[in-house]
Amino acid sequence: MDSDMLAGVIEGVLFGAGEKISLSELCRSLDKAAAEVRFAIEILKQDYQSKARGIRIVQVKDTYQLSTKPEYYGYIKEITKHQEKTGLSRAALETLAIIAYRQPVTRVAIDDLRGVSSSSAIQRLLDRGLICDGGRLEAPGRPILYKTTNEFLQSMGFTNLKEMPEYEVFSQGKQESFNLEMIKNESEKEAIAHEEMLSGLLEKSIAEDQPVEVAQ
Amino acid sequence: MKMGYAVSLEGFEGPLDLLIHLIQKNKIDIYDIPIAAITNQYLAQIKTWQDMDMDVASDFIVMAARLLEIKARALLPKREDQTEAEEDIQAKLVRQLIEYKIFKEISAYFQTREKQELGAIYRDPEYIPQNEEEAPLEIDPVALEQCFKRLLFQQEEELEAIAPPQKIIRELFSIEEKIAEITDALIRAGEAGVSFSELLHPDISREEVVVTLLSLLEMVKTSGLRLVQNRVFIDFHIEKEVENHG
Repeated sequence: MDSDMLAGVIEGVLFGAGEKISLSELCRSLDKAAAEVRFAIEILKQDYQSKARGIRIVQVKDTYQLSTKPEYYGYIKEITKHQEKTGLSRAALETLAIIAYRQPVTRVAIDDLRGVSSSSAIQRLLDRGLICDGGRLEAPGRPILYKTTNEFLQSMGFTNLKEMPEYEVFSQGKQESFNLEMIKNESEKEAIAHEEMLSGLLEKSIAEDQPVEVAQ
Repeated sequence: MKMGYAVSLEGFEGPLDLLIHLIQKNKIDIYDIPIAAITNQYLAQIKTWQDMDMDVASDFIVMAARLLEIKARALLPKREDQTEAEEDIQAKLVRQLIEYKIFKEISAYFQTREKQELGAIYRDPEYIPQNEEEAPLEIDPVALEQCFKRLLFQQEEELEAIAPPQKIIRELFSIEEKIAEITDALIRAGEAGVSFSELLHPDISREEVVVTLLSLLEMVKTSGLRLVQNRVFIDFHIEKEVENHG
């Protein structure tokens, strides 16, 4: 099976499954190495970038899913007569922004930052699955620490947390003390490593693939 | 009659939001806020809302108090030791405002992205019953054992990460036991009662003294003890309260 065909197979799998499929599931069911699968997905992604395609691959961490292109939503809506989807309220967005950049963070810390109570906003974000309980702070009362979920990444169109602009971008280089370390938790580091390794892996996979193809 | 509609406070998410609005409206440098002017405008805004019979959230009132405190301190003649505290309270507010403003910008950015992503449509997979037949299991018992051990070990590590082992000190003295002891002592002493010092012994630990005192307090509450002390910081006398059944 060459890379183009593998790309076709993966496209079929993603369309057929509908839901998110992880890289490891693809590797296992197709009996292919991760590098090969990644390379094939890259081919698909490139292909989808063309204006002539109406779908795209949505990647969240190492899961893949097909969706329509948001920029074509206007045309789709004309046919499907979908109701307008509603976004988050300002209170919820503010709360989500704080959780995204300060995670894991307690409700009290969010309240302090916003200067108002955030309990109902937090509840709404929990209900929508955009944040979750990320453990407890070892302090009196053991308050819940909130963190963002994969659902959050998907709803904002981020592949991983590292893809969010750095906090400094918004603070316009003012001399504030920032703590970016917080968002770089372990799983993120892994995701970043994947990203960085990808290009190298792609080249390597081509190099490794070719002799095998010839041998077969 | 009250009109039954809610008016959000002109779209302000909170006191910080209102302050940022005022600062921007007046084209003020956030690092150099003329506190008196801003405080007046802030209070005027709250007054307007109250005149409109709107419930002003307590958070807005708290901020009003903070602003007034900063303003009042600025008016007072400065003392050497005071300067620092005064700067602190204003600097803290400025820091809070700047931070809030940044997150306001981030949330606007999130909103744009969210709006874009709302245009993506995912498909529901066609429902096809899943194959019930399972592939025969091919397991290497050694690998299984290793996997199991790894999981066990991993769980232990995770548990330790969540709740590191703690030293639990066994309680040497319980209030229940102490109460029984004191009751015995009181019975032996009869009418005369005992003094607190009689309940203690020479090599008593601090913990036991505390437990003894707690037990006495508990007994006063539950079984009618009377503690008599003639003046503070001296020994006191313990006796059974004479039951009055009228």
